[in-house]
Amino acid sequence: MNILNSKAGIVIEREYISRVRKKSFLITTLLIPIIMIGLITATTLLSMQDQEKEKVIYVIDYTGEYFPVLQNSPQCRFVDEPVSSPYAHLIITGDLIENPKAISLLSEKYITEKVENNINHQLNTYLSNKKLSSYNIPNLEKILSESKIRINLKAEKFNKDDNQTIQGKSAEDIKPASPSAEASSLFSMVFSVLIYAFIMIYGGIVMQGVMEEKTNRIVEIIVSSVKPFDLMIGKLIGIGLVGLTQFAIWAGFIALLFSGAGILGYAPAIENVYALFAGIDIAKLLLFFIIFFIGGYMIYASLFAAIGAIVNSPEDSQQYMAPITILIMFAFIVGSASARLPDSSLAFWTSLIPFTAPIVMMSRIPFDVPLWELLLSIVLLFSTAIITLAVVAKIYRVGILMYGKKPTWGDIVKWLKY
Amino acid sequence: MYFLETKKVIKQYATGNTALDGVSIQVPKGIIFGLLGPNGAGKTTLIRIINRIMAPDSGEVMFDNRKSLPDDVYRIGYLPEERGLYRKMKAGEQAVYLARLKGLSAGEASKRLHALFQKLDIASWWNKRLEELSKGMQQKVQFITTIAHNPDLLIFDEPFSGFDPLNTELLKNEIRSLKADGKTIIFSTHNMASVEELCDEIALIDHAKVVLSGNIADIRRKYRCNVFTVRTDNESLAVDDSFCEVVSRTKDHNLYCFTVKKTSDTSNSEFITRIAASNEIISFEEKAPSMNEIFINTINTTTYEYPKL
Repeated sequence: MNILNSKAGIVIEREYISRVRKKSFLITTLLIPIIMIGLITATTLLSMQDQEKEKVIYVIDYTGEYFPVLQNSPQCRFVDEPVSSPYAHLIITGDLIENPKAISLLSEKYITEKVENNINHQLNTYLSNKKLSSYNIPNLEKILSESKIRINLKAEKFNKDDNQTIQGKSAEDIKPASPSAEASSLFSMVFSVLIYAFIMIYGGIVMQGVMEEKTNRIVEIIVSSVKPFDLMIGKLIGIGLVGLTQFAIWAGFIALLFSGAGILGYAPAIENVYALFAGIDIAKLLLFFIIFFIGGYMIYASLFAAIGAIVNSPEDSQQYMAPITILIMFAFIVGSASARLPDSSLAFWTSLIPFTAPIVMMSRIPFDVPLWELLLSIVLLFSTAIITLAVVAKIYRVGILMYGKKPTWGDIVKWLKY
Repeated sequence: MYFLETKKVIKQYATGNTALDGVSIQVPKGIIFGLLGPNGAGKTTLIRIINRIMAPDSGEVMFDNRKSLPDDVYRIGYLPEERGLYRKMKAGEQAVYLARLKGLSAGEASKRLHALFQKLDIASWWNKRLEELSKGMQQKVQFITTIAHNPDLLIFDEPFSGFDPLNTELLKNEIRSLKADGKTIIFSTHNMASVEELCDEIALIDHAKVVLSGNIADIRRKYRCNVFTVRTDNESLAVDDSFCEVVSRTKDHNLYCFTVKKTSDTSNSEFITRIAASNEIISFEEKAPSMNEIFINTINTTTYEYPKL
């Protein structure tokens, strides 16, 4: 059966066209990227400004051994004479190898992690070198440089293929070939936020649409010619397509931006971005974004549709929305955590559980997820989506024609059997 | 030949309320059929079942002398009591959408609706959004969407609510002309005056059951109470107490209007002859019970028989 000529097809057409043609769709589609870019630029600029400020640290070193070790950096300047209002006081009272606690950093201000790390790093390196050399180990230099390479590799996403070619290359050479952990984190954040936002926003639009039809009573006329299931599925598909359209427009924008910038000769700037992208399979990310969006949207938007069918007024919807919102918020929080720990068992399990899978999986994919996990997650997601749809269809069918008192949870369970 | 028939339709809601308890109605082709009853009697549920919005628990709906089929909804036009259209959608576009859902192609729907908008003098509203129109205008658009697909059966639930007297008259004429075109019309209302004016047959539903049904003239005859209005220009009415009694007298523009109750078992002709013999009569008329009175009386007695829980 050709779906476009069916009843559901006519419903899809209306839902899609009436929304895409709206001015608000055009405005949000254009405005959101601009706002996002603006916000990112503004925060980056602000934090850069903060970093540029030089911090003077007054070192009171009773041993006299450590002050010469501390090297000035663009952010930190170490002095051993009193200055007016230093950023912090570094007080060293004894031999740090014997007594590691004989050091403290005092400040009236909040001490940033960077400053703390800077001092820690410098002193730790110095102390461990000193300790190592006290053992008189032969070939110390070689051992040290080898241990350095290992540290660098750990910071990169390490592919098995790279393992073969790695010998004879320095850490610098490997960098462009595989995505850095930083780039993966960035993509992980962006895509999990994106899928979360899309599911919430378009789920909400579905709920509003169902509620509109119920409260203005047009639903009675529509279901006198269309089966409630066709109306519901038509609405879900139509609005889902609006979401995908918006996503496609944004993807197109970005592609255009890059090719445009490339042509106009901003090549060096673009190269940096390409370097960031390198090793991340964008096509794969987009493909799975679409698959997981469809699955997650089917589950959540149909639950939202059920709420729209149950309630008689927007005010009533809060009560029913709470459990769903909590669930999706939980998924979002786990998703953010997974961006930091993509291999944790929490991330593993929640990326299989269908209600959290779309968001958590999107945050894990940039770090490479085994294919079987992806496929299992997708199978579970879509089977749950179909079950959810079947259950919701029953609630929807009864709910859209029920007016008057707010149904209790018990009533809703009765509708399922009805 | 009935165009629409329901046979012992039973419908119970999840909450345990019985909305319809063995309801059978027969609607002959080409008439206006009044579906009457107090609020909550089960009319809307019956209409929903006829529209195939709901399925009955048991019983059958016969459409055009066979069991009702899914595609029959294309032959029904339904104007619900609680109406509404998409507020943000343009009137014409919305009407085309609803007509397409009723099985018309996009082109055909647009053609017919343009003609109907023209006919009802609202062509200039085609591109107006619903929220820009007044309530009465919206009702007109809604009425058009009900008849656009040229259905054989029309179901109007309280069609006159929200219409001013002028538009009510327009709508009544529209309904009459639909009947003249051979359409069958089910008409649900609380307005008994319009029932008397438009309906050929009725069914009165109360507490999920049909408590009264049939031809309006027959029903009124059945409910006659042998009360007559006699007008004379004489101050008193000379009658024989053996066959009638004068219930009341009022003065109306120099005429005296007597309400007379017939107490003996005589025919109307004989009755009028005997009164006319001793009085100068200006008019004589049997006071038939109005549908309003029949409605109230029937509901009262049934309420008595089926006490409220």
